[in-house]
Amino acid sequence: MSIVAEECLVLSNEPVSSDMHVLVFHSEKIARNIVPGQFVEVSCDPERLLLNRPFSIYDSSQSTLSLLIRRAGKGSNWLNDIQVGKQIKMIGPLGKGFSIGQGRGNLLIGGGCGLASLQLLSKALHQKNEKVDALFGFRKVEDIPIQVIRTFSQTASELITTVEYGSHPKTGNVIDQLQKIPIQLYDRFYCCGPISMLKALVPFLSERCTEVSLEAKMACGLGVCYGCTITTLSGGKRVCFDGPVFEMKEVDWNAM
Amino acid sequence: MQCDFPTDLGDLGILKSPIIISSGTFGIPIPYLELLNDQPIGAVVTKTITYSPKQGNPQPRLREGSLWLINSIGLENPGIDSFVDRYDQIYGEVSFPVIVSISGHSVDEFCVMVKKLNALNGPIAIELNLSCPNVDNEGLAFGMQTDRMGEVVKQSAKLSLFPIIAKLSPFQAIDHSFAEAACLAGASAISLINTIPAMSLDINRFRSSLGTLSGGMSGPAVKPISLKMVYEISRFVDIPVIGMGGIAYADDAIEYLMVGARAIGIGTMNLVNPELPTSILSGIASFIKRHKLKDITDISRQLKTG
Repeated sequence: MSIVAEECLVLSNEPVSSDMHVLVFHSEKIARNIVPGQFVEVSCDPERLLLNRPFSIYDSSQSTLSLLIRRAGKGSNWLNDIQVGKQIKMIGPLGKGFSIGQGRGNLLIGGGCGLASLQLLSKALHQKNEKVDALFGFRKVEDIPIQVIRTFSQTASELITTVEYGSHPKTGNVIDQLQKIPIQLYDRFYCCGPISMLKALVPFLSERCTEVSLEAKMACGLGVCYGCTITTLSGGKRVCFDGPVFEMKEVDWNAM
Repeated sequence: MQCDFPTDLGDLGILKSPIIISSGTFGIPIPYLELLNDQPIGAVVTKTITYSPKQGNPQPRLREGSLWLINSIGLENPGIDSFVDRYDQIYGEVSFPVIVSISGHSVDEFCVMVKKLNALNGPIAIELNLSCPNVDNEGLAFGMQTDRMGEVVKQSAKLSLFPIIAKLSPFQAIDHSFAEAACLAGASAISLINTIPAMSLDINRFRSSLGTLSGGMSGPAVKPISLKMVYEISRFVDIPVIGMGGIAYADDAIEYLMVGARAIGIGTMNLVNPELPTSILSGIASFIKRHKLKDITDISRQLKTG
C-alpha cells in the first residue's frame, strides 16, 4: 500500500445538513487502497492557506472518494463552497485505520462530523457479516445529515440518532443514550467525534475493546513534522502516522 | 532521479541535485519515502538529534498564517544512542545522501555526540544546529557568542570523521561574524537560516496560541530576510553556503542560487507539496535555457549588484 499525490476532479458537492457537505471526487489512485479510518491531506485555497487540511475519507469506490465536511474554518469553508469540475490536489490515503475483528457485535459511536470516518468502517464490517449498530449524536435537529444517516442504515442493523437541542425522538447526548443500551452485548466499539465526547466515553468504554479516531492540527499528515504528537501510555505518538485511530485505553486522556 | 545539476559542495562531495530537504521536515516513514523516491533530491537532513531523548513541547505545536508557519515541536527525538543504534535499520532504506543534524547544551555534549556518530558508515556530513529557538537553555546563549560557537565548530570538526556544516540562526546571520568564525573553526559548509523566533497570541484567552510562549517561524514570509543574509554571507566565506527559508517555487530557489547559495534547502513547503523538488529543478532548467546560461553556477555569476 502506498500513498500518492493526485489531482482529483470534483464530481459533486451536496449539502447534507445545516453545516455539512458531501463532496465526491474522481480519484484513480488514492481511492484504490483505502482502509476505513484513513484520511487525505487536501490542498484548500492554496493562494491563501499555507498548509493542506486533513479530512477523513467518508466513502470510496474503485474510482471515487468522498469527504463529509463540516464548515469549521477557512479550509473547510472554502472546500464546501467548491464548484463541481474543479481539480483539487490531495495526498493519501494516510494514517492507520480501524482494525476489523470478529465478534458478537460492533457499536459505532459518532458525534457531528465524526460520522465521516465511520461510513467505510460500517460497510467493511457489514461485508464481513459482522453485526453493526450505530449511535450518532448531534447538537440540533438541523445538524442531522439525513442522507448520510440513510446510507448508514444500509449497513447498520440498529441506528440511533440523538440531539441535544430540539424536538427529536431521542434527546440528550450520546452518553445519555449509551447508558440506556446494554453495552455488554457488543464486543467492539468504534468512536469518532469531538474530543469532549470521546473523553466522556472513556469511563464507559476504556476497559472494553474500543478504538477512537482522533482529530489534530497537522502540518504534513505524513509522520514527518511531529506537529500532531499526543501523549499515550507508550510515549508520544503522531496522530497522522501512528493514528488517527488509537485504542481508547492507549491514549492519555488527561493530557488531551 | 534526474542528474542534470551535479552540485559541488566541497568536502561534502558532489550531490546529484542542489536540493536538500531541511532538518525537521524530512522523516523516515516509509510511505513518505515512497513519495520522495522519484524526486531529484541531493541530500536529506535528519531531524535534530540531542544527547538525551526529548519528548518535545506541549500542544498546540503549530500556528499557521497565510505565508508562515510557527512551530513549537521542541526537538522531539529519541536521543543520540537510540539514533546511532537504529541508524542502519532506519536510514538503510533511504536512497539519498543523509546529513545528520545534532544539537547540544554544551561543547562537551556536541563532542560526545560527534564521537558517537563516527561509528556510522552512512552519513555524508553532520549539521550542527547552533540555534534552535525552541530550546530554552544555555544552548541558545552560546549560540549568541562567536567565540563559543566557534569552539563548538572547532571541537566538532576536529573529532568528526564527517564534514561539518554550521547551521546559523537568523541572529547569527545578521552579519558575517558567526559565519567567519565557523569557517575559521573548520566548518566545511554553512547553512542558513534556521527558523525565526516568533510569537502568536490567542487574544481571547490572553495567552500564546502555542503550547509554549514562542516558536520558530518558517514559510514564504521569511524568504526576503533570509535571501539578504545568504547574499551577505556568501560573499564573505569561501566554503559552500546552503540557503534556505521560504522556498515555495522554482523562482525562490533561483533567487537563492543567484545571491550565491551553492545548494538550497526546502522544508515547510515540501511538507505541503512533496513533488516540489521536481518542480524546482524543472524551473531551474527552463531558467538556464531561457537565459542561455552555461550551468547552475552561472546563475550567481550573472547577479548585478550595481
